[in-house]
Amino acid sequence: MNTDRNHLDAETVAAWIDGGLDSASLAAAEAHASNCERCQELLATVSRTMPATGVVTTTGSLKAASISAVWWRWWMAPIAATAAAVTLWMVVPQERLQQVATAPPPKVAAPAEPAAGARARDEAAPSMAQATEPRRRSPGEGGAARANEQFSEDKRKAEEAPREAQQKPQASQEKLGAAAANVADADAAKDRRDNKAEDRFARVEAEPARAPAAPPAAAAPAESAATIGNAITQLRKQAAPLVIVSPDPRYRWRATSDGIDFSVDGGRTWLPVRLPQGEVVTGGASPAPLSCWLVGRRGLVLVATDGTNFTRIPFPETVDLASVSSPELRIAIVTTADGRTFRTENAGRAWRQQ
Amino acid sequence: MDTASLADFYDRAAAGRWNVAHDHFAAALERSSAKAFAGRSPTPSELDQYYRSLHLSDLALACACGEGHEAAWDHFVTEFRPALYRAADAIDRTGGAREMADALYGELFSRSLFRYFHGRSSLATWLRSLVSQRYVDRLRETQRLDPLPDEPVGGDKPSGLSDKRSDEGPDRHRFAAAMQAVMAAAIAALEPRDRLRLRCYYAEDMTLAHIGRVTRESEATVSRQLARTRKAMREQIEQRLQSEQGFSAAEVRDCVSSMIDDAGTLDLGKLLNVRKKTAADRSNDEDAS
Repeated sequence: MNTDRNHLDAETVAAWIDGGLDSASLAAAEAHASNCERCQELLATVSRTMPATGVVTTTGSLKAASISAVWWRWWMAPIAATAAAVTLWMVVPQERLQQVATAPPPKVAAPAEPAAGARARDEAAPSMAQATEPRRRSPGEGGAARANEQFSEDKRKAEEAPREAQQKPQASQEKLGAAAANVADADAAKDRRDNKAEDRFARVEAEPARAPAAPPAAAAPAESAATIGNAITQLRKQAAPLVIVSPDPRYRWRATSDGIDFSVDGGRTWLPVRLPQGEVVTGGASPAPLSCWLVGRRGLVLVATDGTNFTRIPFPETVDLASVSSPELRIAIVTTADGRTFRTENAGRAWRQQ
Repeated sequence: MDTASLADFYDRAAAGRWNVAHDHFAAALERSSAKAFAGRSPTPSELDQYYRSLHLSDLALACACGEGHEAAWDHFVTEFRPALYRAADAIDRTGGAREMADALYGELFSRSLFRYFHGRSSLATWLRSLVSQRYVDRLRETQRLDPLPDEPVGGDKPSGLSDKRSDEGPDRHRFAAAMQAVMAAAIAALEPRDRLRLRCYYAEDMTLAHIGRVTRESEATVSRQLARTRKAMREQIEQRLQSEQGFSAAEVRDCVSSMIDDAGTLDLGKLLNVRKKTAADRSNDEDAS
């Protein structure tokens, strides 16, 4: 562990995060941070403060898994973290261990094995084969397609791992299998979290660039909700911040890519408002100076009566919401991305489709 | 820097909007390059390329704020103060980082801090990094002052061994100590970037996306590289158990089985430098879930 005082300063870390370091400086920073607990914590902390890019919505710790489980998962599990492969490796490692003991790392794939657990072997074999590959590969090797393919394959295997572990027939393997399955489950939770974010990323990135669409009217054409939802996302990315002005123009809210800000001085100064992480706001309305309705993706409806503390209101459908109007606090009329309207007259306790 | 180049960068930075003095702007550029090229003299073309890569408009704004330009400060307050407080909230959802953001804001108001912004990042990222640095350093300082935990019963045992398994075989302690030693060695032998990825993912519990931001890689690449490192680690551990600990193949198998059977016996926190979770961390965990 690095104990020197030449820690990375805030400016250097910021430059690192924003890609402002040259290759030599970056290598030096990486070399230091890889051995320095304090700088690792700083990097992790800064990364938590970075605004969501429309895809990254989760930070913090994996609650379900203890650090022990996580550690053991990565150490003992091969690339796909499959419990089956782990069990197989643990139970039938003889040939490989002998090779390790007597010779340099082998250049061949895993040795042939009995027919039992054929599928597990199929998954384990490439892992073992990969273990014999040269240690260093450039990060970009194989290109994006290969990386994506590998990632999808990892995901598939991770999802199959617990199932595979449960199917192992050998009694002697059950204990190890169960332990490994627990580890794989814990890891799969984190992987799913990351994968979910990546899926969203892929969706957003895959959206074709298009001209901003007008917000759907009440009698919108039968365009798919997804298409309109995507258009809303594009609008949010491209347009100026959404500003919601209350009847008293000193009080207003604005939605930025960072989140929601609140102003009590007509927009001269803004203070951030805490929202559930990762929520995307698409519309808002203010019926009174400190009251504000916000709507967003996937049925998001929020209301605040003091300007800053927003409470989530249940909405009957998990559908993208496009806009809201509110003549008074108890009444809100929400338009969905597919053009339907819902109305509440009791501050969101009940909704009626119009 | 020649006058024409300075004028060009001045225009690119729209520094005229804030009436930044040319010599102040030139001094800011020079401070920036002095830090970036510390210890060596860049060629003129390197310097030109470097200046072009900077966040020049943010640098001009920082210069203007440092000079006490009122309109620039108003702009900074409008556009960047929310980011500062949002960063504080993201760091500690209990509000514990707010006072640091307040203190930072006060320092910014007194102008002196702006001279440490060099335009290598955006102003917003710099602010996030500043408040993060204050938070981490304060946290670590606090931890240094925390009383040490009570000595565990049987304190002369190898680090990381629990009492729980002490009655389960004579090799148990030997296996655990050997495993801890080879793991530590295998971690230390990794390439810095591999080690950084690993620690970010497992010790700091950063997401793939956040790690990718640090390593300038896609999430898929981070995932692939983590998997590759895991595999290399496993192989390293097998080899080291035999070559450094003198284990036979059967002992390696038994050692691994023993450790898997009870995964909680290694001092993993020490190996991965995991600090004790704070109340703020726990709150953030709950929010993230």
